[in-house]
Amino acid sequence: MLFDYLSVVVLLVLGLANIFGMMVLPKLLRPHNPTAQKLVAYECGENPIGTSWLQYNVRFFVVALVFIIFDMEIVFMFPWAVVFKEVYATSGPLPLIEMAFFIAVLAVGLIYLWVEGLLDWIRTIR
Amino acid sequence: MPAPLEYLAVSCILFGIGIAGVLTRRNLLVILMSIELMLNSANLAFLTFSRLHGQLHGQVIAIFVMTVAAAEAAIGLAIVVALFRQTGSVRIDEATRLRG
Amino acid sequence: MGTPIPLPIMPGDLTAIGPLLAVVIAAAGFLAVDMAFTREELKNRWTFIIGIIGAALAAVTALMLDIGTGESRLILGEALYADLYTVFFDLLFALLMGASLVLSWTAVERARMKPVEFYSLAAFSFAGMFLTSRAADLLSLFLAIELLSMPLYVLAGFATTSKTGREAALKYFVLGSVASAILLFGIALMYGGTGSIDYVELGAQVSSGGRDSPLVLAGLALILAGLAFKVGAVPFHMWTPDVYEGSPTAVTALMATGVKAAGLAAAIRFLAGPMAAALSYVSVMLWWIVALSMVVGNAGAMLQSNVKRLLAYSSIAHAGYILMGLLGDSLGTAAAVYYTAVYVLSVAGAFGVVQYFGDGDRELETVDDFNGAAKRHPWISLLFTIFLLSLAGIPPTGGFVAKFFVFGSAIQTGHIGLALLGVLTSVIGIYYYLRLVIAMWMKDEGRPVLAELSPTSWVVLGLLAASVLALGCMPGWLWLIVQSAVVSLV
Repeated sequence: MLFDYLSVVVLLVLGLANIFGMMVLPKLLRPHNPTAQKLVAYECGENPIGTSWLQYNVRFFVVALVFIIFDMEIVFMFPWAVVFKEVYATSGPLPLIEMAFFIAVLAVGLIYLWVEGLLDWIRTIR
Repeated sequence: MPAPLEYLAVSCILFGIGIAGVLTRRNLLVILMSIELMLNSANLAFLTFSRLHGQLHGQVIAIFVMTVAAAEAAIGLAIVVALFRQTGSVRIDEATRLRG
Repeated sequence: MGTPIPLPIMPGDLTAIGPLLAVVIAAAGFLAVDMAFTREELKNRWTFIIGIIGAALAAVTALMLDIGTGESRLILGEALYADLYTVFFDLLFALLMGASLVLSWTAVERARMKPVEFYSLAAFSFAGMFLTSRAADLLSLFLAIELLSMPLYVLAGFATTSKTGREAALKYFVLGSVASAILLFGIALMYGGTGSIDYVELGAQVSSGGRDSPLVLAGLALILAGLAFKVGAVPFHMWTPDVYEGSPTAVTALMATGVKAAGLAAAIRFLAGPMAAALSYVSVMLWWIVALSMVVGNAGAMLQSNVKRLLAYSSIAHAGYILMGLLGDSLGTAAAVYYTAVYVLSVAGAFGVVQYFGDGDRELETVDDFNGAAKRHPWISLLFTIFLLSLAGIPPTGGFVAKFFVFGSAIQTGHIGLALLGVLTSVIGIYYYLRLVIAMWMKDEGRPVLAELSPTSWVVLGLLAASVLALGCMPGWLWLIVQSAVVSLV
């Protein structure tokens, strides 16, 4: 039984040997001759100015947050949609009302965001 | 079907990595990621046990936990951004005004 | 199309969660007010009106619950309980919400927070508190604790003028989420060990041998650790002093009263209910939590000069005293609930008074800042003294009776050492509470400034002080209610 895993072990050993070979063999074979020119951006690439940690506009952040919340809403709706037909047949429109209430609660949040102006892409600073 | 022990072990290891991350890392964003890791390791445990017991409870809980994790990430990121605007840094060593 | 799927909502369920609905609707109302009006005075006026109506509705709907013969009722698909215990805590939280609206208003405006936004977030947090006492499965417990914590993470860093608020928010958030994750992992292990998250089912499993499963025990230990974090008991207390000091005082008042009471409500329901049979297995852990909380809390408070830090450390000690009740029998549990009520009333009053002292934007920070307060403002100093005496546990107040009940039950169930330690540490407590009292009454060099108190604030502060005194002079009626509330837990 344990023998069945032999192929896994062989694959593992081969994989590790491959990585090792790729990293070590070139180092042994290639000439070692670093110059400052070699570190410059390739051909038409520009030399970067300032740090690469530039500050994104905070609007992206707000939109991302809103997206996360509404993304999770869908997660709740999938299982609901799967069983909806069956439940509706036996117990009437209650599941529909429940889901409507759930969405209404989220809609209140969305309306609040909207009125507060957080969804406007071009925003006047208050 | 593979035994659930492996999944449980993975979940415990992930939880351990999460705790270690919170305790040792100094970058706030990494700490946030570690917290997410802890929550999701619990999710993995829930799914494993759900399968083990042949119930759906664990899977339902996992969905709720994902929502909570999303809300927590949103609040955490907002706090980190607010702190960044004040101190210009996302390292937790800078947050040392309160002591004693 | 086989068996009909049972409806999760029964006719009486919506009235049974009435307080919860009232608070959530109030929270939505705050948001609506913020959207509907543009002028600040109108916003403020409507915020106050909606808040008071919400708190009053919560109290009324809590009282309207049909308790029946005193047995716990499961509602909403067996996710929540409705019984005397929930009514008791509903009333406590409704009172807190009203007190927060009236007493914290000045502090909210002083910290340059908008009352609408503050109270809408606070109302969501209150919704979580109303849920904690009625959680009937571990998922409800987790969601309730998250719902109560998350708005507070935001509120802690809400004051834009504060230099320390954001740092406090960060610390509260990181440590609080780690605690939630630990709690959640404990719930996962508990679910794995028993195959259920229902309190009823858990209780049956645990008492019929399930407590010997290592998964259940590990889960219980982790859940206990997570709850101890929320309650602020040693060794999970490190966040309390920093967060209490750094947050705006209005938020600190919420944390010291609401969060602590909600955490205790959840812990008492969980430990005295389904886990009663397994409690002896973790009693060593609980013993150390209690003993260390009392020692560290009181010793730490003794060394503080900042009033908010002092109250933070003393709240750690009080968490220890309250959890001591859980080591006893059902009388001990009742004592813990009684102590929680007294603690909440006293701390709500104490923070209510502290919020009014201050000069312009600045609040009084150190104990010495209170020097000479009695000479200039005798009445409010008298009220403050009553609350402090109750926290210290001095006879004519409720604090004394609560400590008496807790220590008494500990002695009856054989934890004499712990009770002795409790008495000794309370003596330390008397020292640092009296330091504040002495600063107010015996010293006269300082000139603390008092913000103007509205008549409603006087009424609320007076009511709080009167109830603290009443609980000390005639404890019988509440003690009876608490005892019958605790019976429904098991």
